[in-house]
Amino acid sequence: MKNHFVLMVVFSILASLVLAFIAKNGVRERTRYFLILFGSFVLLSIVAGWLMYPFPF
Amino acid sequence: METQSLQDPAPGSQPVRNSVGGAKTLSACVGGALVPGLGHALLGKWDRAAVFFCSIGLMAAAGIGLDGRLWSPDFDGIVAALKFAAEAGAGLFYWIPWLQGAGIGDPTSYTYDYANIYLYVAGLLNMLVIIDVFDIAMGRKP
Repeated sequence: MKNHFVLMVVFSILASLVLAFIAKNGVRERTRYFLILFGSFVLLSIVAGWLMYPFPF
Repeated sequence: METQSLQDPAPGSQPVRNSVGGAKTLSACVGGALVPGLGHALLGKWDRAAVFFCSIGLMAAAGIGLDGRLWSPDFDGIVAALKFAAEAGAGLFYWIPWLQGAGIGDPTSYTYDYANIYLYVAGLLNMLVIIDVFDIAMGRKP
């Protein structure tokens, strides 16, 4: 498991799962919150990666 | 003008639940600090306990397995102390591998940075979990 994207996705799943169970009650609310958090983690990480792409360091 | 009784909950407010008592609150918080999810298990929240134990345990195990570094409690500078505090939040998932000499860390490893983030976040998430245990024990959350 030495792929940075896979590691980021696994991290996003685990962190989103814990945060969803802390913040929300009920299966429906937790599922919705988990999907929003997970999508935000992955999408914003890719956006941040592309924004940093032209940096010389 | 009509006045509202002090015992009636305000419109829109959360209903107040009973707390579980001081000793059980303390034991749940200490248990949660030692083993992620144990505090919720002591309060009968089995679904949360299982999710927290598996998720935080998996993060800590992945962090060590991916060549992350377990920072020792030697407080060699403020940054090292903060890194130790973050990692030690995972409780026994930090202390057992640290006592076994695991988590030396390999900065040349391809996954070193990711592994350290896994370890920091595992501990920090468990701190949030302990606060959640406290809120449940005090009757602030269902």
